[in-house]
Amino acid sequence: MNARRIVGPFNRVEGDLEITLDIADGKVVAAYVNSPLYRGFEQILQGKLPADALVLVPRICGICSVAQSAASALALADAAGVVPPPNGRLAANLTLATENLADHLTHFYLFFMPDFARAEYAGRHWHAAAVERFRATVGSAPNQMLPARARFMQMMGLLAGKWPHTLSVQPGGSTRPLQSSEIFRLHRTLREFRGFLEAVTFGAALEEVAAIESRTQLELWRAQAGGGDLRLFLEIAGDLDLWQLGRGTDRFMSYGCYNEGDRRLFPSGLWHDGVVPLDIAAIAEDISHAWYAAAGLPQHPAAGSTLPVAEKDGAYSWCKAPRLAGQVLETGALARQAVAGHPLARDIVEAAGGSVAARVVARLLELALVLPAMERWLTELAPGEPWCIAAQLADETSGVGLIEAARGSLGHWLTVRRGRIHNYQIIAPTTWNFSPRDAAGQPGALEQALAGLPASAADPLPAAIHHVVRSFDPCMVCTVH
Amino acid sequence: MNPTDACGLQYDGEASGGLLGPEFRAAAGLPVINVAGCPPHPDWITETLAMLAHGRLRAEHLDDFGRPRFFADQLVHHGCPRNEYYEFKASAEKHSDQGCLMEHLGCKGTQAHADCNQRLWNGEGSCLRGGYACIRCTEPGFEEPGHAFEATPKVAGIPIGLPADMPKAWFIALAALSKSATPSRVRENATADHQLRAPSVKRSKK
Ligand code: SF4
Repeated sequence: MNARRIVGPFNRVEGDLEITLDIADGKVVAAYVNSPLYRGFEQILQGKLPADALVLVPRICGICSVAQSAASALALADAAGVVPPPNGRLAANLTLATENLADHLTHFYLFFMPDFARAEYAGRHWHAAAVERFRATVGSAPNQMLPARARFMQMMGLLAGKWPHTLSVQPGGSTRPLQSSEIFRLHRTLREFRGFLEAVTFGAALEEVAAIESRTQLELWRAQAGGGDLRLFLEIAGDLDLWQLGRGTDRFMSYGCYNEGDRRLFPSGLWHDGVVPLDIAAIAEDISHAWYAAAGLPQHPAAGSTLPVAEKDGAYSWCKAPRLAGQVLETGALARQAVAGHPLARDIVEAAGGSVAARVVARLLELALVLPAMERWLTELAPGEPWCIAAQLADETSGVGLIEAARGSLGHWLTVRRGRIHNYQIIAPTTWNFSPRDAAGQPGALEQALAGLPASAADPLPAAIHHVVRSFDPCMVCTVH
Repeated sequence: MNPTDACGLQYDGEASGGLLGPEFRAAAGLPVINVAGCPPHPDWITETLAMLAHGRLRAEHLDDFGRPRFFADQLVHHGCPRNEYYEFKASAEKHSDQGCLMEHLGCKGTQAHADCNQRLWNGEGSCLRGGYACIRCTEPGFEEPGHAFEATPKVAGIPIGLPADMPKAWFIALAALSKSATPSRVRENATADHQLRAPSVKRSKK
């Protein structure tokens, strides 16, 4: 029996999301991902003063606000030709890392895990534990995690004034000089958060988790005593075979992030049967299936346009379809770690590509990898040395800001004419992952990951569909911006 | 520019009306409550909801723009750690300076209704504590200030936006007077990113 079903709006997702599934013979034969809300930030930015972008772009999103600020500051720094002093660079790393880690934690505890408490899993040996820990609003886990997250976010009060929508992240560095005693307070906050992660999330030292090098080692580690929510997830993932669920394009991209002067903590690149350097010039946005006026062939974002139209044949989303040399890419923590060469991430994608379990494990792995780096960056801060330098922009200039948000690669492309923003184009991580089809008919990453899943025209949709959608940690407000 | 025709529920900028119209009242008799701010402090939301749940929020607890007065009857300037710099018009000139941000860097804390420097954000923060100007994000129309967000528009050297309830002549006279009396400690620290001079220590005469 053939049928078309529309799933959505999705709860526990930032922003609006609808998915149309074509179902035949008990399977999804085609998925169409629709971002139904247009925002208009790229239009709003046109004609504004370049520095005002720092006020406007964080307001694209309430959960990855600092990522937007950081990309904008980098684009302005590129346009002005300035490099922040070491304190400014370290403060930017710390601010972005705080947001990224908080996002990973929120995704795991509040957005992703509650699906395993669904009644359809009653009878599985882990179901009672999943209900006790993760059932929405009453589970014991959120009640531990939320206060720990709120305390961790106090990093932002000291580092950046406030979160979200800070203005401390500037092209020339940070507006918030820190004194020694304040740096010790930040150490204390990190120590408390480490304590939470090691006791509650991992049941192990962060370094022990970061040192796991393969799926085999991961399963051996799971079998050890120690408890923690990661072990519960691994048990579920094994039982439901989430390592085989939701495979996408297996082409992973990372712009690289966390500037350490002469290197990045996580370098940039493209992984597909091995890592190759990323050719940013090969990015183009296709709008054949999105509600935008066509401007000919797919355009590089530096020359891109955003001209919304209400009606268009064949269009089904406000999301454009970014492609790299015509290829569909996946971005996010798994991509970042596969590109950066973490042995566990490499082992996972080499064996079975992207999957629900791989994406979730990669996020938790980043909690274990980045927190120790934050501790190190704090010790490198030098009170009394400069935090911010002036960034003077020419009237005619352009710049690019590429960073890694929690959900993956975020790029801002800025052109300034006569001292005003002439064009500002943004490609957000979920724009890559949740893109619609392109002119060649290639479905986006999530669309590919959903095809082939079991589904019926009449019965409730299986939780597996929700697991796959949420495994990408979508942020829809950023997707269309 | 408003590409999506977005508007408030009961205000469009300063004009009452919005989506529901000026006469709208909810079942409990209240107009739309504007928990203002971009973003609002989370406590403003939770305290508003708690007060509603306990029947403790009535029309007289809302200000002229429908904002709960428990936070809107304060100014961002109240409790700002840069107050001594403000008193002496010892001003920051560039990012990461410690001085007051009103004279050069666009701070509107003396006009913005909110308790950001008393309640604090994320434990011990606020925009001013973070080193950047208040952009008055709890006020209607803040998004189009008509000038760069982080620059102070001036006429003949005087900031156009004066502190709430302050007569202009007074402000000019006081600013001139306090500038002439600025202690060198305050003046030097204002344009540095860390304290160059500590307040002096006095011993009592024995
Ligand atoms: S920086 Fe703004 S809020 Fe702080 S003292 Fe100066 S005018 Fe007041």
